[in-house]
Amino acid sequence: MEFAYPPNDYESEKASNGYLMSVVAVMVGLPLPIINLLATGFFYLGNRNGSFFVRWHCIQALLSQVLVVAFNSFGFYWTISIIFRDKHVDNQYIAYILTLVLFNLIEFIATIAAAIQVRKGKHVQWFFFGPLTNLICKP
Amino acid sequence: MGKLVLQFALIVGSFFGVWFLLSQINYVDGDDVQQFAKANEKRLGTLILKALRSTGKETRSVELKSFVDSIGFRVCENTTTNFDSIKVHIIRNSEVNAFALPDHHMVIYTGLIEDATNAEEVAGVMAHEIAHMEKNHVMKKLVKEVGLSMLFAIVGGDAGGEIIKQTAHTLTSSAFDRTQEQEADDFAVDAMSKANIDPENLANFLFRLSQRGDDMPDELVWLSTHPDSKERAAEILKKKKLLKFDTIPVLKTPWKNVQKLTGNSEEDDESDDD
Repeated sequence: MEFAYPPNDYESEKASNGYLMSVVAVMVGLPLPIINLLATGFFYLGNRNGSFFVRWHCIQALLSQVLVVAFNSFGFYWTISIIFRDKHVDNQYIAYILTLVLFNLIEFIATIAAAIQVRKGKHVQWFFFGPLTNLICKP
Repeated sequence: MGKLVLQFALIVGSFFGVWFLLSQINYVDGDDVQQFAKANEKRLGTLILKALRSTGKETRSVELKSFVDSIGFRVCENTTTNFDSIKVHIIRNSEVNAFALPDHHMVIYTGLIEDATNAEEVAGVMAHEIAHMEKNHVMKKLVKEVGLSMLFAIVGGDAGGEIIKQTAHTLTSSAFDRTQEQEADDFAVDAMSKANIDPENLANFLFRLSQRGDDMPDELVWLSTHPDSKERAAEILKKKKLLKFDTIPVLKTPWKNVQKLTGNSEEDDESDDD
């Protein structure tokens, strides 16, 4: 997909880093789901005055994190309830954790793929998050 | 905009769809606690009770036992609990303690009877322990703190006496978690008011316990999963204000006379042992 203008190499690198922030934060982020969102959020704040291409991709990376963080947070709360409170492991819990793993894996692969494509200067628009970013981010 | 909402619904829908499909697979065979409880609770209760009897002899005073039983029947009179299903054991021990064991065994130490200022306080403690039984807290606590595999070893006879003693110690020396203690207090307040016993007696008992300094320092209470006795007493008083009940004494016999029986039982036991 074509962007409004062809980005230069510096812009492509910055925009690609926006996606990589969430991937790097996965290491710390798995036990604490909010870390990924914070890392991507801080990267966006640092680049909010950047070029349109950089801002656009930082926002898409940030938005994609919000939904995953919401699902992960509920899984985190459920796990804590099992460890410290009067809850036990049942089929619903195991199914939820498996679903989380699956969706996080899809998100992880999509993020890496987007980071590679964006680094090449290609404009990647995700399902739902792309059109949503178009609504929020203006030149 | 409509397309965007549809795409969002698709993502969220697919998440819940996958979750629903995956939850159709049977990963765990029902509730581990319930299955274990059904099969082994009776044996586990007997083994733990046996270990506890080594800490003090069970009183054989029929009179004392009948007083305690009548307190129990009174507490349960307007609840769904059938007190006949609860096996009360009064053990000679100076510790102020009472606790629930698996298979509806309830142990009351004579120290508690001696420390209580009236029968109503004992009624409150018994109601609290009955709640732990009725809500299956005992087995849940054992599974959580001792572990299913160790419990299987105990009932299978593979665990030594020391392990059984430690398991008994888990039930006698540590509180349940905050939610469970609160549930038991709520049940006790409800049962006491329905039986026309003032729940304030349970609050008084807990407050007295807290004055002895057994609880943790106030600064650490919020960190703990175990509620502080003083905090529980305050909560009981708050709930009491919302309830209407008459106050009818639990026993007609003066409490001092009942307390004297804890000493008499000692003589009974010694003569029985001869």
